[in-house]
Amino acid sequence: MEKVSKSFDDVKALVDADFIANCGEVHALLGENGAGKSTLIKILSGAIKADSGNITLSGKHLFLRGPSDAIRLGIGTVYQELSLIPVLTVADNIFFGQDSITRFGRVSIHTLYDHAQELFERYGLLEDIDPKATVGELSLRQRQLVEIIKVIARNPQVLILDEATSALTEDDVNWLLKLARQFADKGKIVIYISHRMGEVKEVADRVTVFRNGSNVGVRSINETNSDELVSLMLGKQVSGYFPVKHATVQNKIALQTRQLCLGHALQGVNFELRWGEVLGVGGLAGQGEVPLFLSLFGIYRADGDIFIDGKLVKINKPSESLRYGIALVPEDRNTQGLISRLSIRENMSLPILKRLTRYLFVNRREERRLVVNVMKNLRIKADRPDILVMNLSGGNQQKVVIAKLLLTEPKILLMFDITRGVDVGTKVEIFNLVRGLAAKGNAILYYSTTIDELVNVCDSVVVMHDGRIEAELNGPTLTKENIIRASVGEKVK
Amino acid sequence: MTSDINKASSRQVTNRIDVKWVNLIPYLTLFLLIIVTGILQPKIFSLNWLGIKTDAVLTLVLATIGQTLVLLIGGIDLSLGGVISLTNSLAATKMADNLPSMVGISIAILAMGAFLGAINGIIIVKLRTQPFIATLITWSIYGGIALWVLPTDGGNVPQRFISSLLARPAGIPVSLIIIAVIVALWLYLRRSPFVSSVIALGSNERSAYLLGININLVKIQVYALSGFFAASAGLYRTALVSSGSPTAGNGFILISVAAAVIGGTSLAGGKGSIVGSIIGAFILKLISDLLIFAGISSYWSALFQGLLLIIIIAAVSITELVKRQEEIKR
Repeated sequence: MEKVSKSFDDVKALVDADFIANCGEVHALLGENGAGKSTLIKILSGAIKADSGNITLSGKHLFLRGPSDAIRLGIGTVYQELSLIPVLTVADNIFFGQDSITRFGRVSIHTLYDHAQELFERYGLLEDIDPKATVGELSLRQRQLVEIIKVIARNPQVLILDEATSALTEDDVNWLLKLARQFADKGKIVIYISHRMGEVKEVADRVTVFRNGSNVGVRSINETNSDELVSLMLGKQVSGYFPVKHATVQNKIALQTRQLCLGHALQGVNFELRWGEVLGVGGLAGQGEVPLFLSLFGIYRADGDIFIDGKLVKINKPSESLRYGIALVPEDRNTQGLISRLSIRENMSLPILKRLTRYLFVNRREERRLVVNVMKNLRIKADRPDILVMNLSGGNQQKVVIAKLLLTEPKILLMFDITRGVDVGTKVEIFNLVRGLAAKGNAILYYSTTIDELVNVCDSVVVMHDGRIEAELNGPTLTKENIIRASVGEKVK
Repeated sequence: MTSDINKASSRQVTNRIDVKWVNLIPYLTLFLLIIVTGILQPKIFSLNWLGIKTDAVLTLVLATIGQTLVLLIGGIDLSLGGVISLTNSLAATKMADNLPSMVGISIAILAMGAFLGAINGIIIVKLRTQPFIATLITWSIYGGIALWVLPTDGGNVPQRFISSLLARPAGIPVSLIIIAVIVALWLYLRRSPFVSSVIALGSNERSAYLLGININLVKIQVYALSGFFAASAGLYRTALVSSGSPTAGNGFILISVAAAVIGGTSLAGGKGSIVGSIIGAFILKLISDLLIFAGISSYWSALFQGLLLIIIIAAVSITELVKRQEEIKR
């Protein structure tokens, strides 16, 4: 890809970008969100048309009018946001648009299911996914696995994996890395985008780093190291990934639950969250962390008691939760945290409209002042608050979600995997933000799938297993090993 | 947050059962109505009775089918009112009493319907107009042309045209045959690439685009099909009432949406079936007949249809809610 440029409204996503990948290699693409990786890849997959520049594949110039052209030419893309149709079954999604099993324009259902099952076996899928299940019923991890199989099954010449491991378990990741390697060894081109340095180091042959819309360096993986790569990404020297943990925990209890139960999902959850504390929640996926967070925010109505500042409260809906000073940063910023077609300003003012409204009109000046202020505080990379949220990078979008909730002046924050799909630089800023909020006296419940984060950002960690708190770890017991042990139900050291 | 539930197998079994219940509502309702009709008017069931019913309801069925396709992609077609009026008026005035004319005019009218529908699609796609607005505009335009073609109710419909469409070869009504053919086609094409594209588009336009579906083309095709079916509805109506009316189609617009929704089509797109819509049309017809039989003035029938719509939509929504609650409890 040569001299590719692309702008979205006023946002310059790519400026004369170059990118070269060879057959038989796994080529990683690194960069902060907003660096242009996703845009570059979407141009290659035909989803977006570049403003200028050209693409050549095996010497042939490519003219892509849309995704179907790219697919036809053998470019397969596993999208970060997935491209599945929720109302259709797994099998339907995997074989969507393929005529290979069609006869007279009609596709036999049972053949599809069998073929899907065959594919799962051929690629050694680690999870039993029912081909007859509707994609809408599946968990995020399962959907990601389906998306991967869907693309791989078409045997593309160019395999693009855009953050394809964001919702996967460690075993799944290893599986995918092996598949990527196999693909490359067969002579194909594999382009691997990930924020996880560990994965990149393990699977890539070469790495290209993007920053601010341009290619800032190409390296062979064995001729470089993480520090150099991160420096290239950030454009400056990297020091201190995790913040220093100052003592911020107070003695008073902010939030306490007693015997919180919800069907089979929560089986009597008891914990105490103090003011000034960052309490981590760890555990494997599906152990009740989602129902716990949603119950605390009023989306589910759990049995049991919730105490805020020592007082028993009843939380039946999110607005009540907000009124008690609780705010939730949800799992999926695209569908739950933001309204993509609205601007930054509009998104941020939504929860506090009542505060901004006098008589019938919204005080736009006050709104603007608050929004600009918080954008500066959180260093949200956007020229104006009127930019549409969907044009922002993932990391910036996440900041907008957090900012929006901060404007509601919460005292207790429920943060669910807030660094998922967020670039390195923004992650550091978010860690500092979280510690800063704790220092100011807020109470934070922090769920993360990255064990490193739990150990380094949180004061204490509770690990969930089978709908219960399996272990409480702090001080000397707060180690990576203990979190993992507790996650699988073993006693901690 | 998609609940990460461990006991996948039991969850899937429950989902399938619940989903089946929701899908059965139209069938159950139809069944109930037939029973009630049978109780109130014993011995009325016969092939002849069925024929009278299918003749009377076919216009609505055809209009509803077109509307269902449009609803599946998350749009709406208000212009079918104008298309029905226009095709009805044209058929009533331009058809001469000879076979070539009847066949020729019929084909021309059907093609015109597809063309008029395609215009809707083009306006929506190329001019980026909301379907509601676009079809509202074309509704008045097509209705206006109908008034120009046939200023007042009337027209002259060839007898042979009427009798061929209302015929009962071997006792089986032509209208029933048409419905059977449509149902058969739908069952055959339900999983075809085109229908899959339509459902994918309606349920998640972004994913459909990334999957390589030509969004714009599919939209235009769907609206063209709607126009085609509206034209067929207008054509059939000409035979049914042996006359033309420049305002014939207006009563079908919202009713076609109602019939589709009763049949399980979602207004948000991505969910629905032709068979369900046909049943929805029959349900509305049977209710209206029951009301007439009960001596309730026809002015009230709209009220009752509205009530039924509310009940059915509520039943569907409640079932969805319960299903979601059940999901988390597992």
